[in-house]
Formats: sequence, C-alpha cells, structure tokens
Amino acid sequence: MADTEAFDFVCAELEARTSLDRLAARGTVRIALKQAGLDSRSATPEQLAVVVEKLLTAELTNRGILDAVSLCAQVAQKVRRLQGSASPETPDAVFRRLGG
Amino acid sequence: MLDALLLLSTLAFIAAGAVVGVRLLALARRTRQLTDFIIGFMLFDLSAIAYPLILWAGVGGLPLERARWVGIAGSLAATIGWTGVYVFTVRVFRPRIAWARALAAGGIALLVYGFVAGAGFTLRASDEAALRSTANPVYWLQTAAILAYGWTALEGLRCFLQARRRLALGLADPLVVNRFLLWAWIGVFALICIAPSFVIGLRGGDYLHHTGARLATALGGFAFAIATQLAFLPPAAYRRWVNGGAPARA
Repeated sequence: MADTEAFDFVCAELEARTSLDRLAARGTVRIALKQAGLDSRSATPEQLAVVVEKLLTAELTNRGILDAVSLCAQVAQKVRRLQGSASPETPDAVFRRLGG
Repeated sequence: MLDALLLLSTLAFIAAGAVVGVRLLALARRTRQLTDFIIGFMLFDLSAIAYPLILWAGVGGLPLERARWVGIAGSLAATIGWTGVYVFTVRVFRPRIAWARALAAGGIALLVYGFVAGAGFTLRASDEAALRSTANPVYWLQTAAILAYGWTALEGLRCFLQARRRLALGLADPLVVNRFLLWAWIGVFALICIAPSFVIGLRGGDYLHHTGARLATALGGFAFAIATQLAFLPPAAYRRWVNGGAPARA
C-alpha cells in the first residue's frame, strides 16, 4: 500500500523548507504519525494537519529546526486544503459504522 | 446451581448473538458493505445456529444416528461462522497484508479439514464415547477457532491502543475507541468459552460434565453476551458514560 498524498505533501514541504533530506523528513513525519496512532498509508489531510500542529513541532525542534512552530502552522494550513483521496476503508470507519 | 447458571448463560449468549447479528445484517442491507454482512452473519450463525446445534447433539440425549447429523450440521455452521471471523479480521484489520492473508487462508483450510475429516469420523463412530474421542479430527475445527479468536482479540487490542493515542489529539471518537476494546474482549470471552473444554477434551476428559469447563463456558458466555451488546447495540446510558457525559456521536 502506498503512502497517502497528504503524507507525501507534508514530507515534501519539510524537505523543501528545512535542512532535512528526504529520508529524514519522511522518518520524522512517520515518528509523529506513530505517536498519534496513525499510519502513513491511511492518514487523511485533516489528521495530518493535527499531527503537524500538535506533534511534529516538537520533533522538528528536537532536530534543531528553527522556528518549527511557525513552519508547522503553515504546513498544517496547506495540508488542510488538500482533498482527501479515496483511501481504503479503515478499522475506524468500519467500527464507527457498526455502532449504528 | 451450575446447571442454572449454564442455562442462563447459554440463553444470554444465543439471544445477544442473534439480536446483534440481525441488527448488523439489517445494517449491511442498508450500507451494502460486505464487511457489515460478514460480522452480522457470523454472530448470528455462531450464536443462534451453530452453538445450539452443537449443544443439542452433545447433551440433548438424542439417539446416536440423529446426534451424528445434528453434530455435523452444527460443525458446518461453526465452520462457516469461524471462517467469517478470519475474513472479518483480515479485511478490517490487515487488508492487503500478505502474512495476514496467509494466516487467514491457513486458518480457513484448517477449519475445512476439521469439518470434512470430523464429519467422516462422526459418521463412522460406533458410539457416543467414540464421537468425543481425541482421535476425532473435529478438534482441528476448535484449534482453528481458538487461533481466530486469539488473532482478532490481538488486532482489536492493537487498534484500541492506537485509537487511544488519536483520542488524546481529538482524532478519534470515544465510542469507536471503546468498541475496539470491546471487540478484543469479545475475542477473549469466546476463547474462555471454548479453550477449557478443548484442552480437557484433548486430554481425554469428559468436558461436558467437567465443573471447571462448564463454569468457564457459563461465565465466558455471559461476558460475551454483555460485550457484544455494549459494542454493537449500546444503550444510551452506556454511550453517555463512554463519551464522558457528552451526547453520543456514534
């Protein structure tokens, strides 16, 4: 399964706007996603935006990225504007539906 | 006392599975989702068809010839229901994951073998004692069921732990998070119902009259019924409690 468009977008933004290379950018976002109990293959733009705002800031600061708060706010704003692609049905979606 | 407890537990198990199964089948009719159909059918089939038939064949005092056929019908219904547990688990929790597909395929193959070989053995058995002999390949059916419930319980627990992290960020619904936990418990309670009898039977004991096995089945059955009800047909008060007093969302 491929990573979602939103995940790729956030990684590309980090790669372009920080000193992190592609591998480091993707690894950092994956760590933040894991802390949130999310997966790069199913995370939606809205979920990514929340993770960027609430968890990625600390991860970037730990890696010596300056002004991580402002950067993350901008990236979160941009990723929210993405259209969520039709991702496969998640366990959350199934279990929400089964509750009626 | 134990007899009464077992009877009540059996009725609760059958009623909860049947009611929730029918509700989920009605949901599947509306949503046209195969996953919804699988879980609804599986719950209904295992609780309202397979379990009563297996019980009837084992303790119903039927003549041997009739007990054979009722037992085979119960095993067939159980095979279909437990196949549903594997298919639901792989579709919902591990779609497109090769090892999960292989595990599900292996489990289903074991179920089919257990049913076919067990049916052949049952037809050839000369008396009731032979039917319950450890040589009866129907034990493979229970082995596959134990594997299925164990796996689905672990997947439910994994999803619960992940969803709890999302909940802290406001990215999950408390009821859905709770439903993952209940699903894990449903798997555990089903194991409690099956595993003790299975182990005692494998060791050559009379699991139908073993106090410990009967008690485990009774308590497991009650707990299964309650967890199933709370997961898929939760009362408003339970929804409010899970939501911390806020109005229910799902």
